[in-house]
Amino acid sequence: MSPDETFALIICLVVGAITWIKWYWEASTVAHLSSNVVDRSSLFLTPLLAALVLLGVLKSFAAHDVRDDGQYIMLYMLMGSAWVGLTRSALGFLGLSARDDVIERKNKAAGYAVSGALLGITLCFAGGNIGDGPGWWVVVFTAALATGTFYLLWILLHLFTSLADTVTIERDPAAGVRLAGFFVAIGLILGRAAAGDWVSAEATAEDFVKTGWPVLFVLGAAIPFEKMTLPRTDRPSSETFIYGAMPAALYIVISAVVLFFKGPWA
Amino acid sequence: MNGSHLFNIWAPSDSIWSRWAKPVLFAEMETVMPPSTSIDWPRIDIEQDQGTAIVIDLPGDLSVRTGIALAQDGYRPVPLFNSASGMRKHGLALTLVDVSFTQKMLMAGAERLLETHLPPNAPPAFLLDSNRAGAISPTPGKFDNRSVVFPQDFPSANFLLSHGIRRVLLFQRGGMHRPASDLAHVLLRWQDAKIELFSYDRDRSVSMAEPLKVIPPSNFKMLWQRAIAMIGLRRSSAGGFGSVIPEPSSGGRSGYG
Repeated sequence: MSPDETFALIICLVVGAITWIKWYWEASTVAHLSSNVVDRSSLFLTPLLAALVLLGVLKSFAAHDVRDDGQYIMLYMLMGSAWVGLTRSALGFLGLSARDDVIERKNKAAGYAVSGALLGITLCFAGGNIGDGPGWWVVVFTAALATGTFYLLWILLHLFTSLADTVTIERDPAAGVRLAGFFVAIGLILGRAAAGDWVSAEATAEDFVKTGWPVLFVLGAAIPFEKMTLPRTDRPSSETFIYGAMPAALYIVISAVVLFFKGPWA
Repeated sequence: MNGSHLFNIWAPSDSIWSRWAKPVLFAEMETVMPPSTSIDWPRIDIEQDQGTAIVIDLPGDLSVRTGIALAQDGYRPVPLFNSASGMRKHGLALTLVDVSFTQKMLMAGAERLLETHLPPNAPPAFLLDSNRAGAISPTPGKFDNRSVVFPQDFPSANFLLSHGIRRVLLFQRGGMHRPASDLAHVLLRWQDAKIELFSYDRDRSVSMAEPLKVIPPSNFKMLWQRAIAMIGLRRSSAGGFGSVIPEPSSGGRSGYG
């Protein structure tokens, strides 16, 4: 590894350690009377699942010099942990908090949503690792494009549907599952849009828009569905399988169809 | 008895409102001491109405005493105190919000609460500490346990309406027509859902409750309202808020995430 790669590795190691030690410390020790280990299980397991997803992408689709070299795999795994650890903090500013909603309020719906968000952000980062490029900063650039768009779409979805309130105030588990599905679905498309061989920043941004615009199909499906399922007095929460798991699966199927038609990256 | 047992008395599993009860003050109690002096529990002449919920925003100890009084009338007191005490580690002199009397009242009121045999569907009386914002300026070395409440701390309007609650009575002192700004975020959502709001000055007769019209507070319904409201507050490992303000030379934690 070059000196700048070694430097990046050390920074990512420190940032990843700080953010995830804080995460697991809070999940293990904070407010033990508010919720139990089972209520918090998603907070323990999802980061591990996200790490497996990233490892799978790196070993299967990253540039050849990365996937065949343990040091580079370690660099990008650590970068991924730092990336997700840092950027997931924005969730707290945008209405969803692992600590406030899952740990301190025992809110199942928020548990699903936060897990979906972690996986979605991981997919955004993982996509940035696909294809050949001149260095690690290319991954950061494309992951920033994808993750920024990820949060923009969440803000738009909330503006149209008040979904953050449905999850955190109504505590509707079905809404939490739907939101998790939405996050994973847009993560898949944005990750795919971030994939590809590096030419230039302009070309990458252009390619990102060209490949990623179908994410609007997922948003377009989610907005009317959320409006239809808004909690009402006669239905403060909905049946989780029909109104939660099925729409979430639909969002992911939309993404899978988009990925199928987009085909392999160039 | 320890804090966990005491919390189970205040938030029994068969009450639908218990999921909103806050265990912050209970989590810090290692052993629960019975009160050394007898407590004068007040009486409030209020007729129980299954369609009315009550929010008590009074100084913590008075809030608990009022909650116990309302339990005699059939209301389920739900403690929503979000400030950690810090007493075990830091002592009263260094604490920005004194919750020691609130804790004592919670201990003393438990037995009385058990005697009421409230049914699971008893309407709720949410207990808040009106001193939660603190009156002392936060300076290094002090235990900063100032706190706020959020709409996430209360049942939604849909949940209340679906359980037959159509009226909310706010108990407070002074400023009859103006709830605390953090509570306004909660009450306005209920008002928008056509739940009737009334304000009642604790020192006057319940029959003098007046209709309450809440005006929109800043950042109302904004995605980042909760994060903005938490700026400058310190979290507690027991849940809720409370930790020592570090001296300028040492590190410290605050913020959100």
